[in-house]
Amino acid sequence: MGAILTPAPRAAVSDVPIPTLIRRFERLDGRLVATVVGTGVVVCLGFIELLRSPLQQLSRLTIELLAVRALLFLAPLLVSLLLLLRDGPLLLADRRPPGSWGPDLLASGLLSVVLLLYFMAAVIITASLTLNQGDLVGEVGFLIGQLEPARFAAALARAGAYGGICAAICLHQAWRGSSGAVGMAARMARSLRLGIGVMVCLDLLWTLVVDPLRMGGN
Amino acid sequence: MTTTAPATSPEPGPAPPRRPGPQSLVFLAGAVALLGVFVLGIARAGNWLAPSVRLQFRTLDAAGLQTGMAVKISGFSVGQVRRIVLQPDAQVLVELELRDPYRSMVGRRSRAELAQLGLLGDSYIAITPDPAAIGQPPIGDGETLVFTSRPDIDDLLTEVASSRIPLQRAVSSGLSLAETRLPRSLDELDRTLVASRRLATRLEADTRRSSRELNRTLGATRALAERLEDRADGTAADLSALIRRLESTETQTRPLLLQTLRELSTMASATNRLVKTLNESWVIELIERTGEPRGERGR
Repeated sequence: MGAILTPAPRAAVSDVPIPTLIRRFERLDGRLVATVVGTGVVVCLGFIELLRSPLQQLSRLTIELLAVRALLFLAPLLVSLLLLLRDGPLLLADRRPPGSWGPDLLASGLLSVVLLLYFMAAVIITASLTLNQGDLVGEVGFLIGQLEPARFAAALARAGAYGGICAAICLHQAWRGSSGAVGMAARMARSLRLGIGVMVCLDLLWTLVVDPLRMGGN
Repeated sequence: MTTTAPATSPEPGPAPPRRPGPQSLVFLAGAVALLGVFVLGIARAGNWLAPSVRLQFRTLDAAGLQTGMAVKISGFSVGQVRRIVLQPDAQVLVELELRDPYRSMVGRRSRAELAQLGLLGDSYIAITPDPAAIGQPPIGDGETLVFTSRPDIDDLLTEVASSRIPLQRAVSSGLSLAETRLPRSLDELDRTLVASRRLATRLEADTRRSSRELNRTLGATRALAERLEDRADGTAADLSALIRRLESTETQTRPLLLQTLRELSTMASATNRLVKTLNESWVIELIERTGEPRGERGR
């Protein structure tokens, strides 16, 4: 009986990650993508409007480039927050020891990267459509070409890292928190607060330390 | 307590392998496609896909230089700055990437310089083309160009300040010159204009007269041409009639002439026969005999 209850270690390592990844990727549905794309469109429109009217930036290309580059910088934070709001409660309901968090962290990181790509596509197409002068495809190609490779790769890496950190915070809260409805609500509130705080701090650290050192010019 | 539950609870058996739903797969595929588009777009903008050649130049000052700034030939973007490095001898080494199709325009005599688009526009590296390089072997990878630095704004201001006094002197002398010489020149100009106007009036009258004469000559020439044309028309008609008449006459007389010729031929042959007959006849022989004694008698 004891032999039946104890699973073979090889099977535990090879079988668990794939179903977890699949379970997490099943939540990549139209509603999540629509939310991310909608956020991208709204933030981009707001940014363009801010640049156009109060700041009196008149150059079309300047506005587009500022919007796209600024939102590339903000995108990892935004999509990770959206992922935290969407998948956080699901992770909080699952109590597991830290040793089995790996697939969930990986899935969250990958989902965050996927959402970042949709977010940036929405931002670029919105910027091109808002200030378009006839050649939409050319404009989209131009804006994509203006993304610096290092910054784009850094944004993807940051999105993956932030997604994993969000998942880790949720799983940690689920593992350490008390059970029951009140406990769940408290865990959720703490996870959101911690998640937002940690990501904003990390973004600030990136902005102040890593970005100027690695990519801030010559 | 509950954390160890999954490890100790009995498991019914391995769960059947599941796959993400089709919607998730579609969105995953979309994300992969978007990543491909982004990478391709960035690669195209950075000319990662096009062959290129690396050139370099050295300068003493990196002010205004920036990685990624455009490299232009004749105002046309042909590459970009790839790397800027401070050397141990405090010189700045700048590496350029030049797209391969424009390689043949750059030669040993080409120069690189820092230029700017307008007063507030972007800075770029301008390379002067080397016409001698066309038809020659292209410039090699890693070759060094000569860099011509842009004049410093402080130097320009100093030069402007130093040239202010000579400029002021030149302007004042120009003004005095204008005060003395300008009225005289204006008088001369007035006189010249009056003379020119007079000349123009005379030329106009002459031209009018000449044009009248010319019109008259042209009319006479036209009348003469019309008359000649009429005459030529009449002559042509006469010639045509004559040719027609000759043709009809020839047609009529040809059979008569042929018949006459045939008769003449017949008559000639008859005469020939007659002469031959006479020659051979006894009368001629008789005449010949009667003629011989008379001749002997006469001797």
